[in-house]
Amino acid sequence: MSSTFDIDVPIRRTSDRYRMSLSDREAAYPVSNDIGEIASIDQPVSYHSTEAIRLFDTSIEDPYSTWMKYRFPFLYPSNFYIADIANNLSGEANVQGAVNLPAATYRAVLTSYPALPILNISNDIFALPGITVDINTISEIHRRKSLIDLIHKFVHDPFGWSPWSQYPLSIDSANAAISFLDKLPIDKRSPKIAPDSDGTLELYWEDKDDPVLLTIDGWTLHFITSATTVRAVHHKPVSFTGADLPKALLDALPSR
Amino acid sequence: MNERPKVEPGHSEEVPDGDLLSRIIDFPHKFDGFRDLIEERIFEFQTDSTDPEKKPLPESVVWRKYASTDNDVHTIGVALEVDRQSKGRADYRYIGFISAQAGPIRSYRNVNGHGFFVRHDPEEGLHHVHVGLLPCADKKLTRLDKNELRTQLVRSIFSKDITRRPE
Repeated sequence: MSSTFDIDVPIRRTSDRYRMSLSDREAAYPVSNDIGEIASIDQPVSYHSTEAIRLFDTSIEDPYSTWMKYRFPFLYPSNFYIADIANNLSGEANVQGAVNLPAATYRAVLTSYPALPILNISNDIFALPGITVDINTISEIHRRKSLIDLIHKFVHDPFGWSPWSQYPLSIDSANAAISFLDKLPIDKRSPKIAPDSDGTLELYWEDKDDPVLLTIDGWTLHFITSATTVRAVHHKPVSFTGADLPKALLDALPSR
Repeated sequence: MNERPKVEPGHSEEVPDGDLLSRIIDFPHKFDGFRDLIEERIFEFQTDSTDPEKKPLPESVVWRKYASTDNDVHTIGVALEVDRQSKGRADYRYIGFISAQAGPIRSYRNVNGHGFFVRHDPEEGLHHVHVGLLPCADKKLTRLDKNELRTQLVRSIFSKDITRRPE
């Protein structure tokens, strides 16, 4: 069996739940927070997705829990790390443990999990283009969760770089920022953030040639592409509904 | 640190382009776990709420002509920490400073023509210099301009590495 697969896997989301903030999702559907074991792997990790889906393809009682715990067995030199990729793009991985090859053991572990109801999708579930879930993706998922924790902290603990003042983040700006991160495609880098004096949140994407600056002011986005360069473009403010991100901004954000 | 001579009101000097300026940095303990996620927006240029025109306030830096060694700057930073903590900012923690020459600060202009001024303001100490936003004469300075300018200061003009406070 090859140790690497590069397969497009359909990511399935429930549309209502997709619109929930990460913290709401976590409150409603608690998942494990242990990704340490995967994060410690220092080699590229890939997954054996096609076979995993086939092995899991039996009926289950709760489609959402399966959606949330979409399982990928991670391949790593001589062991398989069986991991739950909870909440898909925005959740966490729960390492179930390593199993040794040969494949018989591997299959025994896989078949002990609930199945993936690919054939029983309700109307509010849709498929997005697949991605390869590798170790960098998991790190990015983890980073975004930390950013959301920080956004919550900024609301309750004012922060400022000036010795004279600290600023709380407004609730509206915080909610808009969490929705923004939820909508940020996983192949895009996540930003650094800081609150500003008027309850807004500033987001910065460092890039050698084309940095991007975004200010989230309630549900209004103010942004500069190619910021600080002679090619800088100061865009007009855009209303953000929590749905699609502005194309000009999305196109300018650096990829991972 | 050089002993502060008595400064007569209104006495200020021109800061030469080649002179080094340092910015004191604080970072509260309670955000230590998030340090890598927080944008280093070290210059705020907060709006003066008492000013009907809402002009952004300048930021303070240390003129190294009057605080020539790193220890001199650390002494100023620690004194600021003591002052801030005594006035209600219990979590204020001086961690070090970043530096830049005055010339690159003065010469930068963003795409809309806005930049910075550098001005000696010795009434808070002979070492005390203000860096402020210098709007272009025929264009309004917007929120985006302000954000871009302060990002440029930290990302390109001042040193990237912090000269850390000794343990």
